Amino acid sequence: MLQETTEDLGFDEIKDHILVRAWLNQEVGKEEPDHCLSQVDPLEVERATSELVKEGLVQQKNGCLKLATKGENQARSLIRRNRLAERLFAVVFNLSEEAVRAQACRLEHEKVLTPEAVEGICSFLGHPPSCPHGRPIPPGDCCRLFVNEVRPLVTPLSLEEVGENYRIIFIAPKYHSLLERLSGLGVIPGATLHLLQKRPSYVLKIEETEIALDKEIAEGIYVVRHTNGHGI
Amino acid sequence: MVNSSTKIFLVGNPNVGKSVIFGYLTGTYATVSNYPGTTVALSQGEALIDDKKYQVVDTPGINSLIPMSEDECVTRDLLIQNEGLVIQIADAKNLMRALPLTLQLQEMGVPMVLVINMCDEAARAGIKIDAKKLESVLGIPVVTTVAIRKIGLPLLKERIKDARPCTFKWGYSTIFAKALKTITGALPGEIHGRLSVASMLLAGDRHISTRFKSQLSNNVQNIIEEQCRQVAAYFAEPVSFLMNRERSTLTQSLLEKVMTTQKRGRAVGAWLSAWTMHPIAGMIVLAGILELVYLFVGKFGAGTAVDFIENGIFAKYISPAFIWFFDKLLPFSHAHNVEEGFLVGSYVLSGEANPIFKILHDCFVGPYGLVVMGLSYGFAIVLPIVTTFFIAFSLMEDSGYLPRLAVMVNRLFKGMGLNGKAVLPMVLGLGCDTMATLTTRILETKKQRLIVTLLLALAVPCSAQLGVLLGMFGTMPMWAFWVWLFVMLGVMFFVGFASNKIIAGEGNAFVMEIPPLRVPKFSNVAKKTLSHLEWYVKEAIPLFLLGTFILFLLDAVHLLTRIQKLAAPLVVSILGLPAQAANAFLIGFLRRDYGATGFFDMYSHGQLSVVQALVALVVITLFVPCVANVFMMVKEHGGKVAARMVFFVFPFAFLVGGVLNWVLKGL
Ligand SMILES: Nc1nc2c(ncn2[C@@H]2O[C@H](COP(=O)(O)OP(=O)(O)O)[C@@H](O)[C@H]2O)c(=O)[nH]1
Ligand SMILES: [Mg+2]
Ligand SMILES: [Zn+2]
Ligand SMILES: [Zn+2]
Repeated sequence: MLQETTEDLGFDEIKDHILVRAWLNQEVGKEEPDHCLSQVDPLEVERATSELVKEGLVQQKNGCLKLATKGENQARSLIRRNRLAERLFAVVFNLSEEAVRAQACRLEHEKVLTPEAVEGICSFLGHPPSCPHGRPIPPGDCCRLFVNEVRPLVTPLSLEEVGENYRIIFIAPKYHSLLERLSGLGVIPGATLHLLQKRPSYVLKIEETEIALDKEIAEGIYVVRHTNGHGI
Repeated sequence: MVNSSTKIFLVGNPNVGKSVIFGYLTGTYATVSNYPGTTVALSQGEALIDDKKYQVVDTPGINSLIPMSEDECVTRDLLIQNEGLVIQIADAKNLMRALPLTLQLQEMGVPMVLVINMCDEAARAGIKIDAKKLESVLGIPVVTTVAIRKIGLPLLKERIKDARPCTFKWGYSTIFAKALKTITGALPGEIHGRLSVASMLLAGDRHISTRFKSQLSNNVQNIIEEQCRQVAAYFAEPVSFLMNRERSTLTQSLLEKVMTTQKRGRAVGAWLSAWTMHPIAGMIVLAGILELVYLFVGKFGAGTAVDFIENGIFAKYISPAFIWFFDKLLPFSHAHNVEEGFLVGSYVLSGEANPIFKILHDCFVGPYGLVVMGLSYGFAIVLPIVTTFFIAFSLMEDSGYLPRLAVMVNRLFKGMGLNGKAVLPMVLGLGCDTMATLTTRILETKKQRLIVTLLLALAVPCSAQLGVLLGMFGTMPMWAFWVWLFVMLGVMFFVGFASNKIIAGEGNAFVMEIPPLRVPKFSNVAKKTLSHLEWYVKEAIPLFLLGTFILFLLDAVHLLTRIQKLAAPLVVSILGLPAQAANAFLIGFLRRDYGATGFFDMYSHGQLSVVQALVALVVITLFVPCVANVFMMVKEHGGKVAARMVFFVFPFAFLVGGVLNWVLKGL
């Protein structure tokens, strides 16, 4: 998810990458190569690592990096920014997965996106639980408080109007088995649906299939309104 | 590739025409229905194609090979253990949902043919499919059909011999692909369709992993577990969902090459469909349909038709003929009573009678005679009602109205721990509770199946009973019917609500596909009604005869009076009924409707007041389910659960009756 093309990384950015890599290692439970870091002078990486150790962000244990609490917080917000940015590009510009990756990687560093901007994007996107590749987005304060100052671009279907077309951005159902059942019926992110009615039950149409469902399920289907063609 | 006794599995999404094609290939009828998920049991039949014998299997519809419900599991398990070939049936309007299944079948490596059915409806929706191109991309025969008009089906027969495994080139994204490769490599060679098993394992399919456990060494199991764990840890969403998503994305890009859609205006069907589900218009439609059903089943079936068969045929010809025959065969001096101009089973004895003659005579044409009571009841009173009900039900089912009804009542059912889907078994229960208990399999959770089974056993009168009840209410003041209806609905919601709280279990989220409204085909309605009737005649008529015979025996050895004495406290003091009412309850153990007829008889002879009759009807409606239904409950849920339900229902019925009696007397 972190693949920058060629540009040189600044020293702070190298540090960010190291933190992110450590986070990913913990998340997945195994070493993952970082494409960007492998292009940087190994000496630089070593220097950055030892500085991180000195700052108390990471601990080095028999060759492995472990995040300290402070480092974990920082890495979490990096990951959060990265994956929110992926969502943003995927939703707003309908970019391909690869292009999304490359763009998001640049946006993850603090210099580019302030914490306020991140909250704004998160609300705008309806506080998504995962990035377009299905990996978790660590929740921020905004997700817990559900402050909705901006009218979000991505909203639950239950807040939308009948008679319009919507593109499904993500689905966050109450329990996971629902996801599988919905996907079997063609209710998947990327699909376009037409909302036929909301009462007495929700009825929507995807391609030629009409599907009835509960309000509670509709609340977990996050969509953007679909004007003709692509994008929003 | 194909040898003589090959099996053919008809596989596909729900409601795409599998059963119609099964019927064509084998010449045997499998229930065709416009309600997703109604093929709950497997139908098998033989087909002769190009002088070769095939064993054709109609399977329950599935949306994915990773099963979500019991019937999806059935299909998947069959495919995994069997060698044979697959005819996948797809709805031309919904290839987006069919092709992901094709991809899963490809992983299995089975030889297959793809049928694109419902081309008529697709054409109407402006959808064009390039079957030739799809054929060359997938590498399997692709046949377009309109199954109900047999268009394309002869060609399908011809192409079955060309069945071969799909050769479409595709793959999952790297992380899945890698894990799949590792798991596939680890699986022992004797497992069939290893790639497919691997992808089910990776998707976290429990059934599969327990199933193959014995065949896998600990080492292999560890490898699999480790792979699954790693991949699962990687994502926020379930792996099976993400894999589904990848297959769907792939399908989408494939469809862009072979399918074109021309936007059409909203068809008449779409308007109609919207009305049937509208919060207000939908209620009006529902009321209209109920009125029609009432007119057809209640007035025509239970009134005109019953009257004609009972009085016009049985009382006039059949009973007198049998009475005449047995009186000639077993002569003893007696004279049969005459009611409304017709001979009946009761008679006046004049002088000494040969006891053996008398017993044999009574067994057939006495007051509790098999012919005079059993047959005339089963055929004359119940059969017309059952027939009209099933015609009405088939029409509702085939037109696609039932799923829309599900949308309307979903909220209401939620209070009982169910969801709209339960509408099918509940409405079917009004026809036959036993059949309805079998169809509870279409419900997703065990809890829902239990609740519906209980409600069916308790508060849903089957058409035989309903007919007798309606007939009886026709002769009673109107308010009695409303009180009865109110009590039944009240009991149903109360018990549903309570069992929702008591029975532990998962949620009851409502997700249901709504098939298009279709004009019901006459031949299908006829066939379905007939097959329901065949079932009824085979199952219920023998029970009527048995019930009559037991009554006759009890009467002959004078046990009836003794049972009446025993049951008197219950019947007389709690329910406030005369002691003979115990007869009807006794026979109600066999079939509730039979018990109801007993009360019908007593009421029409002035032995019951209106309040008494009402109390009796409420108790008998709630009374224990019929023997066949109990057997079905045992089969579906085990003896323990069935016993518990029956032991709950029996006292509960008396309790409700007692309370009602107490309330009505107080008023
Ligand atoms: N218009 C149209 N309807 C069809 C066609 N094939 C089947 N049907 C209808 O589709 C419904 C479902 O058919 P069925 O065989 O029960 O589907 P299954 O669930 O896949 O077994 C029934 O109402 C059929 O009459 C077709 O080619 N065209
Ligand atoms: Mg079927
Ligand atoms: Zn947020
Ligand atoms: Zn006689």
